[in-house]
Amino acid sequence: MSDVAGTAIPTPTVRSRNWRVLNSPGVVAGLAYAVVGFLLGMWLGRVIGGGWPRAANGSDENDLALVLGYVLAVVGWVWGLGFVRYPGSRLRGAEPGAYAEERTGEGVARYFEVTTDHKVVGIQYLIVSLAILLVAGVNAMLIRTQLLSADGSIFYPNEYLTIVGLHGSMMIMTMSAAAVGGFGNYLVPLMIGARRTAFPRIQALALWLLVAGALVLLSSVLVGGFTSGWTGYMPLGDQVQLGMNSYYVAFGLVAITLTLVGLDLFVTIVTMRAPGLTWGRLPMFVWGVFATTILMALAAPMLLGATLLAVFDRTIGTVNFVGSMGGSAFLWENLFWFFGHPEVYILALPGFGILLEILPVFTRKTLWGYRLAVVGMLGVAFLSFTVWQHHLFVSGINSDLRPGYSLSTEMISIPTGFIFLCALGTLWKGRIRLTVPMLFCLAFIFNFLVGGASGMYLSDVPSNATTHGSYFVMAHFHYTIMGGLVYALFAAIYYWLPKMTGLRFREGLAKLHFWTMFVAFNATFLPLFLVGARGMPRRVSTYQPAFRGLNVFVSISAFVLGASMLVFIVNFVVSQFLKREAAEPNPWQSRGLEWQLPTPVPTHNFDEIPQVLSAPYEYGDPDAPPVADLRPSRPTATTITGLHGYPVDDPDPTPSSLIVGARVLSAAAIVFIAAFGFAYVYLKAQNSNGRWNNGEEVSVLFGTATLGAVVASAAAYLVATRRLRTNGVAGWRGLATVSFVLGAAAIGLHVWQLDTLPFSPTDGGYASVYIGWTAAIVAVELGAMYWLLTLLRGSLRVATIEADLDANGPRPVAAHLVASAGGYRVFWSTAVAIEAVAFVLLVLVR
Amino acid sequence: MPANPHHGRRILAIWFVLAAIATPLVVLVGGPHLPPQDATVQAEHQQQINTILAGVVTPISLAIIVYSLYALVTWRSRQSDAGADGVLLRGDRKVVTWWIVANVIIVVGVVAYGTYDWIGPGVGSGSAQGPTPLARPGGEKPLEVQVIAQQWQFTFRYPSYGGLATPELMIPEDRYVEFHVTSLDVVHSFWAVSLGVKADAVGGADNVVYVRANEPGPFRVQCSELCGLYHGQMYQVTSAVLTEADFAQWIAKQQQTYSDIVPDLPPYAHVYSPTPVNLAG
Amino acid sequence: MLQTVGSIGFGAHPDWVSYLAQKPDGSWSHSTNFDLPAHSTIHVTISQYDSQTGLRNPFFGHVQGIEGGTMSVDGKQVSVINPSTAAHTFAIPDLGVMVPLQGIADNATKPCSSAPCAESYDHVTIEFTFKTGAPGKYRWQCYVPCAAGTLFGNGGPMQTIGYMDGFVQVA
Repeated sequence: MSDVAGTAIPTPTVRSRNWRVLNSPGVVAGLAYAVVGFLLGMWLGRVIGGGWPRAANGSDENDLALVLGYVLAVVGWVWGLGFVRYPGSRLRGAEPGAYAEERTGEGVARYFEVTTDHKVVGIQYLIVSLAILLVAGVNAMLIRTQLLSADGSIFYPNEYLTIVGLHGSMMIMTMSAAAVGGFGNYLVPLMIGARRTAFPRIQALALWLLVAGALVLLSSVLVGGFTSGWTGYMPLGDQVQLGMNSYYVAFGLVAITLTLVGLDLFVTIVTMRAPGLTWGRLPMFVWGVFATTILMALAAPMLLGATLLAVFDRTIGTVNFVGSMGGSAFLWENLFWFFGHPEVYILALPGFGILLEILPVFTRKTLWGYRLAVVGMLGVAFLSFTVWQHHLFVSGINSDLRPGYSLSTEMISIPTGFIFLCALGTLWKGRIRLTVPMLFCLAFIFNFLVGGASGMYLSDVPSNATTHGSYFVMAHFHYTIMGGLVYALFAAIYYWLPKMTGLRFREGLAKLHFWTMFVAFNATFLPLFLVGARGMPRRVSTYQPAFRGLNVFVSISAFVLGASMLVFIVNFVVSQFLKREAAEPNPWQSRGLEWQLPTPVPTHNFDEIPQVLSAPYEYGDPDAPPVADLRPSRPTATTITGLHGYPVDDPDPTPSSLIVGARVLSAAAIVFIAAFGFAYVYLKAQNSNGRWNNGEEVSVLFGTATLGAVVASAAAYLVATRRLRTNGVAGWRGLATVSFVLGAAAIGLHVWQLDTLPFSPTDGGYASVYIGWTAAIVAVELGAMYWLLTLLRGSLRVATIEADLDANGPRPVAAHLVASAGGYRVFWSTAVAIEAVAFVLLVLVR
Repeated sequence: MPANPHHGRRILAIWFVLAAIATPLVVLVGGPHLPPQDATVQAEHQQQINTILAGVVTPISLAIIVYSLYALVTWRSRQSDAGADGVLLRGDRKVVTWWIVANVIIVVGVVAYGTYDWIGPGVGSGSAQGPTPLARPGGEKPLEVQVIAQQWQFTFRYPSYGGLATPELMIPEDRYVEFHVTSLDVVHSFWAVSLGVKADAVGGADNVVYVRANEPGPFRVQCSELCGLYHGQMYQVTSAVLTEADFAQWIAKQQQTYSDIVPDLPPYAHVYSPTPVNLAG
Repeated sequence: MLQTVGSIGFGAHPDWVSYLAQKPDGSWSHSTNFDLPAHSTIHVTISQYDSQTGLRNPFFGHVQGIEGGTMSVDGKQVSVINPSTAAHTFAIPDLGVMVPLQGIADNATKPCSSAPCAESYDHVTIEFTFKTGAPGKYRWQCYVPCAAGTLFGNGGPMQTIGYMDGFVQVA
């Protein structure tokens, strides 16, 4: 990359050292800015909160101030960490590419700072995940301590419920992040022969947002806790204390994290595979991550929309979830579970991937039924979008749809069955090596079998009447999530850590960990099926004395289960820090591409982009070529699958990544807005006229003007991109500027309209949805306008596209501009379509 | 391995013996004790389905466990063959076909029977059906009882006895009861465990569930949806199924005790909207 | 001896409504956890200083589970009050006890604004007797949606032990 003028930072001469620490991007600055942002938000909330219904209502709790505090704290955190420098520099016209301060540092310190090295980010995810897991695990121990006695005398109910809510929320957070964020980020580029992921900065941003989310969630204990559990059901969530805001903000951040992780890794897998790595040779773990990223990008934005609706309820007094005022409690249940059930498979699919990745290595066999397994994973991903109402069998809605939901739920057993069949088939006549990762994989099969079998009861409407909402379902999802994913994670840790750290685990301690965990896990959760079916509901701080015996047994088992985690921690500390023993580069004799690399893996992964020669599981096939040629001696500076010979070493996205990324982002935006569209349709159908719409009239003229502006903006832009090739950059710039002005005008109109609404947020379902939907559209359009602005500024650097592309040979700046301009076209068209749908529903139909 | 033993047949034989012992044990011995027992027609139906599911799940799980354990014992890598690889086998179309066929049959069978049961003879099988139930009992008109949940207490109304409201839930035996479950505030769930009845209580919504009790006896009502502070304390132990005569007597006593509050109650309706929502001191 | 106030005036949430209990020495303590002897008859006097809010469930305007089926409101024996005049309730659901507490009149001349309130302020005195029954830990709570400004009037002090909720330890 050429040097960007002005990026060299002049040495400050008058500033003190402390000031420099605060001012240079990093965790310290992030924390400092976060504190400033929080105080600023609290102050703002107090000032403007005076006029808003909820904040001014004398409940002596200003929700608006706290939420603004959180939001600005996150902004400050992201700012202080240095994430705004690059987008900022792009706005000032910097070339796409490495910012002077991109870090891929060395030494232990790099694990505690912002970096774009996917391996470091992966390990950072694992550290964060294990830390959250530890806190959530301690919460689990507290829960079981409370349940030692039937009348619950240790914690007050609000404390107990906060512990339960924190346990669930943090476990969901860490489990969503650990497998894909940790192992996905670390392994996917190594497994597909790439040097980085598609969007390294986004990959890093997602991690640090997750950290922010975890801290925000934990901070709820300082403001009264939250008594809603991890599902945050409404309208209870509208009612309870300040601490509830922490939950919604934290889950909003998690939703953003998941979307970004999904976007980054999906695009990476689609566009950055090494030559020869066809879809049919893709490792199973990569397939698992791939299926998961689809779910992340297409389900998590729904959660973001839902949490926004909730936050609006709590801060500005909309009534989205208040049945008696035109909202609906069912709306949250639907939105939440539309995300929530795919989320379950966001947890399960990486586990399937790990299972099928590891099994062939330790059976010394090729994977049985490779295609079947792929179909299974994609089938699970697809079906998981169709089952969410099985969480609502006794809720009293849509009872006529239950046969359908029951069937789609049971049907998931078919693709899941494929994965089971492939795992079992791989055992057939193998040379099974009972290593520690293999033990965890076998336990995964057993646990998931119990989880799946109990799932049959829950999917059956009559049986569900008893099992729903009881300890039965609680045991069920612990068997699938803990018995599935956590076991898979430990298998992955024991399997890949020798590659990650170059150090060996203590085998004896590892086996002790496995056996105590396996026995204690089953002793903990098997009895809970019985307790639940006999009448003990979830999340209760007291229970019938008749269940005391089983509960005490379960608590003791749970403490042993907790102790088994201590064995792991001891093993980790001893083997990684105290008595380090170097591991061989490929201790498991695996054919996986990642194992062909030296240990530790160099920062740039591959000296040359490898040529993949065969599938990774060809054990037992003497004719199989090695998995890849690591030195195909091709010129390294050319692209893998990108356009225009864009260099692969650059941390900025390749052109093809940009285009695929724009499509994924557009799809995510549609899902995000769909949350509001669903709210519209749902509340309109649920509420009689008075509660839906009190006769509010928004100005049709206003709406038409806004829609006209965005349509004209899009039209101008479409013409502009057509001219990019023929008339060069100058012709493009003129029309693109027109497009920008029109787009900005539309945003201005929206804001003006929100400021002069003829109704208040409390006026009913329509008023609530109108405000939320419009705000969400403004957010999407603001993002689009930022993108267009960077394009406009970037275009100033390119005299003519023609000259850049052809005369001087492929130039990255021009190629980037063409690709980004094309990606933006997809995104802006999507935004316009969203605007049009909103116009029809919000303005014309009402 | 020397000769090529028929591993498939051996596994099948072991599985068959174990399944032949375990499945009848689970179904015949365990079945009658499965929750939620048989206090009502609906509980009976759930128990029946739980028994069938246990009968399906047991042999399937056994098959997978037997196969896996057999594989571990038989094909475990030994010192003698260290470094050797397993056989080259990429899949088997026939196995896949049979697996899918079996899976589809089980799925369709379980869903079809469950659906038939709750829409047909189970009359909802204890699962709530919303404001317009698909499955309704025939014959005699059911006794309508309203369950009103609020933070954190259930109260009950009997519209056919002058809109009587009481803090206790009593129902007659051998007669269909039509519960209308609603809430005055957040989402609760009405769970009468031994009746096999569960219905979410949602503010502004009506949720119907039918039950027919087989014999007199006490039962417990418990909230099973997290509803805030005292969710764990929101239960009722004084509820019971009464004989026809006892029920009439109980109703008379309740009417006498709570007659002076009836004029202050809102007229009986399937949903209530108490106002205001955001109360000021 | 208990009193209820519209705003407690001290502590973390000075605007919140609360119960207070009188200690044997006559001073008021801001606690809602009480110890009672088992199988005993308890006589309760509540000085109710708060204004009227109204019951969310009007049925609770009827007393339940107290001796004789009536309570004394400013000296008058009644079994039911107008549900819309209730300020709070004293209820121990597991013991079947439910006593609606009438609020002071809307046009009261001398309302008390911070706890503890002296006798000279406007208040309603409610007296009743109930039996404790078997030992155990029973929750008690208020059923009037008295948490100003929260949804359904049931957030804040209604979901915080020490204000409108607590436990009765019967031993």
